[in-house]
Amino acid sequence: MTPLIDMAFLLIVFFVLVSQVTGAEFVEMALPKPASNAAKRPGDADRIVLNVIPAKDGGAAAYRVGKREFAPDAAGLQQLVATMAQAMKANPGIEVNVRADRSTAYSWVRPAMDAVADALATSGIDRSRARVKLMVMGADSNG
Amino acid sequence: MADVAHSDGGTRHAALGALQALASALPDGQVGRRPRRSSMVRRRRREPAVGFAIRTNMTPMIDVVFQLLVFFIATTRYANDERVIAMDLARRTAAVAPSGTAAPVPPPPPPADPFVMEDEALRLEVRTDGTVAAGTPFRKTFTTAELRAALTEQVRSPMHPKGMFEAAFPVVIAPAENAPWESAVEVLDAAVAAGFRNVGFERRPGATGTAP
Repeated sequence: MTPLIDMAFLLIVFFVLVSQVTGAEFVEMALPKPASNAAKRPGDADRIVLNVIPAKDGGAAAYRVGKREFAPDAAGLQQLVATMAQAMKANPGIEVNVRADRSTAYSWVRPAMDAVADALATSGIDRSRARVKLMVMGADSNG
Repeated sequence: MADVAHSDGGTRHAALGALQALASALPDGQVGRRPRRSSMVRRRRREPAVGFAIRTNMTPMIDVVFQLLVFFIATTRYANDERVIAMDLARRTAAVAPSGTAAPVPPPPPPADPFVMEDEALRLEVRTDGTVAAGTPFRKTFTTAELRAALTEQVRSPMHPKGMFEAAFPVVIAPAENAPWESAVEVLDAAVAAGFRNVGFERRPGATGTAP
């Protein structure tokens, strides 16, 4: 019996940890789902996942990187830029993924993308390779 | 046995005396108990089982463990269906110059050549209702499905050799402030799927820190 119980406990610990990690980075929201399959699967590169946390009526409650939340005002966005610039300096190859709910108004997503551009500018990375990746659902997924 | 002969009274007394004598003859006064031999045999049989004396019933625990396991497997949400659309930020002007450097100096404009076509980006304005007002050369309002078809036809490729745009032709998407993110991404996706390689959102100068 003992090996069986050992394995079961290991699996439980594994799933508890995995669900915590993915929960921190991937906030529950309905991503846009464009009709074509032009979007690619995310690679294995290191990445900053920038979540635009949806509020009611197409607003944004906060911007979130990992477990840190930033208020959607000027001060919060400056902190966001500083945080991302720090991560980019430490790891110049890092990429930024922006996740926003499909009903969020563009005016709340634009500051997030501007923040990425500003963070790249302040971190002094070669900006010819500067890009942002927008996260969507695959066209054939059921999400 | 000598006592029996001396006891007074009838045969009843004689029988009682005989029993008492029998009892006193037995070692350690084990009257009425089981014979020692059988007790010894029983203990010897039990001895090997001493290692299993503390025996827990495992079944409920395993039941609970499996319940937990199934719960966590079922509730773990993998981001398997999520895809990414890459978008270049490079050709836009930075609102903040890199620290320690002067503000970037724009390159001098090239000399005017009347025969070179104006290389103005294709501008796609996304409205709040999801329709798209396409700028020069379309000058027309599309639904997203129409836009997909029109763009696919007009990007030059082996399948569409008469298309009017090179794949590197810049496309600028300008969603309205209240346009849902879904429509903005839909238009971006249409342009990328049509074959454009230089697609981005319009960046408003000095927009940082001005969330609505």
